[in-house]
Amino acid sequence: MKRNDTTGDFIYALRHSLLNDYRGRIFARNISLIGPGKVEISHLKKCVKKHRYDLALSPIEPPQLFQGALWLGFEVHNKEARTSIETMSGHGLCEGGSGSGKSTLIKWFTLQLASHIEGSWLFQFEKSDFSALVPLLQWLGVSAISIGPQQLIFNPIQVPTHCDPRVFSARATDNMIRSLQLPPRAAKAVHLTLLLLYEDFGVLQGGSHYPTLFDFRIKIAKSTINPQAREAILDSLDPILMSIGNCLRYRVGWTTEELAKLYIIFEFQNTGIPEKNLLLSSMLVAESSSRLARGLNNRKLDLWIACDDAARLVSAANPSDSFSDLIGLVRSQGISILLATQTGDIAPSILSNTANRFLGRTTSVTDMNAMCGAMGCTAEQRQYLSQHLSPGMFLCQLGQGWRVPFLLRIPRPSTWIKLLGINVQQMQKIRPVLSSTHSDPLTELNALPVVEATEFRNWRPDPAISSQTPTSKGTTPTTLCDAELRFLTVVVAQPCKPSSTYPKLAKISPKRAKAIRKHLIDLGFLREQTLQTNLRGRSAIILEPLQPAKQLIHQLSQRGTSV
Amino acid sequence: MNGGMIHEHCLNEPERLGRSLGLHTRRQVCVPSCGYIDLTIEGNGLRIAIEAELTSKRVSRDLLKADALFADELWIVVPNAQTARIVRVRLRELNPTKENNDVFVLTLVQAITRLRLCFSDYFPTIVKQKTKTERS
Repeated sequence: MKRNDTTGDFIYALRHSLLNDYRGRIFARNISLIGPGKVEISHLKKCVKKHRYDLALSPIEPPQLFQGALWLGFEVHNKEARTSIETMSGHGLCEGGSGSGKSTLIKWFTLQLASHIEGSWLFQFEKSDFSALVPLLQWLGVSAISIGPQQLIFNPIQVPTHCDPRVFSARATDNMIRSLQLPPRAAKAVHLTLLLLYEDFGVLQGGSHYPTLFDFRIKIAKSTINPQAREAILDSLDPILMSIGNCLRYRVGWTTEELAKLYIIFEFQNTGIPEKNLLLSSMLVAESSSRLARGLNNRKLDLWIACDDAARLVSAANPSDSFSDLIGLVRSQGISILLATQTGDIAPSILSNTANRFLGRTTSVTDMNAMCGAMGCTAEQRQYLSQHLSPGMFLCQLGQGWRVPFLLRIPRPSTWIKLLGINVQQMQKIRPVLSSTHSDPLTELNALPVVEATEFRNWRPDPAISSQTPTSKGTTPTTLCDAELRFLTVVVAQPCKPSSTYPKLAKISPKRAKAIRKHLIDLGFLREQTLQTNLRGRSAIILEPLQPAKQLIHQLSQRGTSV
Repeated sequence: MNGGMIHEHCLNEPERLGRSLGLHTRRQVCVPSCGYIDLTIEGNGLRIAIEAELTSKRVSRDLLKADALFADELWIVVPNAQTARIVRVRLRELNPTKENNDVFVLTLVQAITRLRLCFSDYFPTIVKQKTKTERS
């Protein structure tokens, strides 16, 4: 009897993470290897008693959630907490410090939802542990794939199915302004250029030959829009096209309508922030626009999206990166987004648009207070939470049904196989089969029709021309950027004009032109002279192109490079 | 002497204006034993020798060339007021006692203005037409 009590206490202590300290870990190892001694039994009893006493005094009420297809986890008395799938149709927000179990929560919910919803997109921005879900999902009968940005085939300006190009162009413009962090001045230029491109490619007439972001870049470079806006667009777009050009050089890419039917783990951990922003926002905007055009409103959940390490997306301090506008748009369309963040720096609009909230163990009380305030916790509850939350334990508030915050414990991943009724032997049998299919995880997606713009295979941002002319500062070859070449071209074409006339001709801002002018003089391409152009006043600075500049422009014109 | 682009620019503008006023212009006029005068403009009984200079080094030769060509006036066209000042100082050094009434050190704009003033009486209609078109 005594031994049974000890075993029960031991299991209880393990489930509630009571043996996670140094002493507890030694005792747990002793109990497992050589059985419980007097000291171990005494420690176990103390821990369990204290924990039960704390729970009895807990100011947080246990939930009355006993029915539903979605198994949330265990409540404080170790009973299953269940709710309906519809509860998760609202967006969710999960806050917790490092090691609090946010990723585990996402994985657990994904497994729970796997047999009930059609598709799921899991975005990983920093880590790469979601791929561990693939075999588990496969066993549950869901084929999941894990892809990076280089394997993705996606066109952010491809008009989604059933969507009017004119309507979509406005949404795509907003998306590009937001994800590329462009100035407000660029909005109209981007919108106009998109519409012109759609007209050129016959998309407005119903054609399905879409422009790519490369076409957009070329159109912008040639346009006569505000020079500052154009430079801002090109500066933001070029690195993206260089880094994930393989993904973006498709006129017809994978449609989000097709992607929404699959379980996909997007591994964006090795991608830059603008690329992440662009891909995530574009996919959401495209899917949302498509659903809106199809009239799919107030429907049940069929696409579950989870973003791990989404601190940047929910940040209030950095509104340019924030997801707040987008999360407000994607509502009531059968799409649910769960954002997991480490800090309490959360934009108010994110809190307003997330119905389900999960607060894990945080290392800072300030971080905890942000979520506690949104959940309506009392001062006593906050005090209790700051001292009693442990890894895997969350304060949870649901959007529907039980609205009172309650404590929820997510099962340990090691117990999932048992809890979900997965037969380990059967699992081991199917694993080799799975690994062989995983060698080419894109088989299913590769069957989708795509149209590649082959002309952009070896695309480079611009005529980065290497001039072999020795410079005044040294003999190393120098590289001129697009703006510098433009400036040089106009100076060679129209020499001996005051320096103030060239920025306008080269479509560059005067401030930038000044820096370019100095750089070109240093490189030995130009020479400055002063010339009295008026009867009174200061002399104007006249730019004289030197022989290397003339040679370079002559070479360019012979090569047929448009500058 | 064939100069750089600014040197050419200082000569091109007066030459173009001279032609538009119907004057006789010549580039690189040979002066025996002295070299070449950059530009001469003749009309209304006047012969003007124009030399573009970016420094004061060759001013003494310019005076000799103008004398040899029997030019009524020598215009030394310089790019800016600072160079003009230096050239004037150099001229005073060369002939401290004599006043150079027929030597003018002018910036490009001053040269063009003076050219218009000098020859507008002789070709009034052309000048009026020109000013009208400029205004419009």
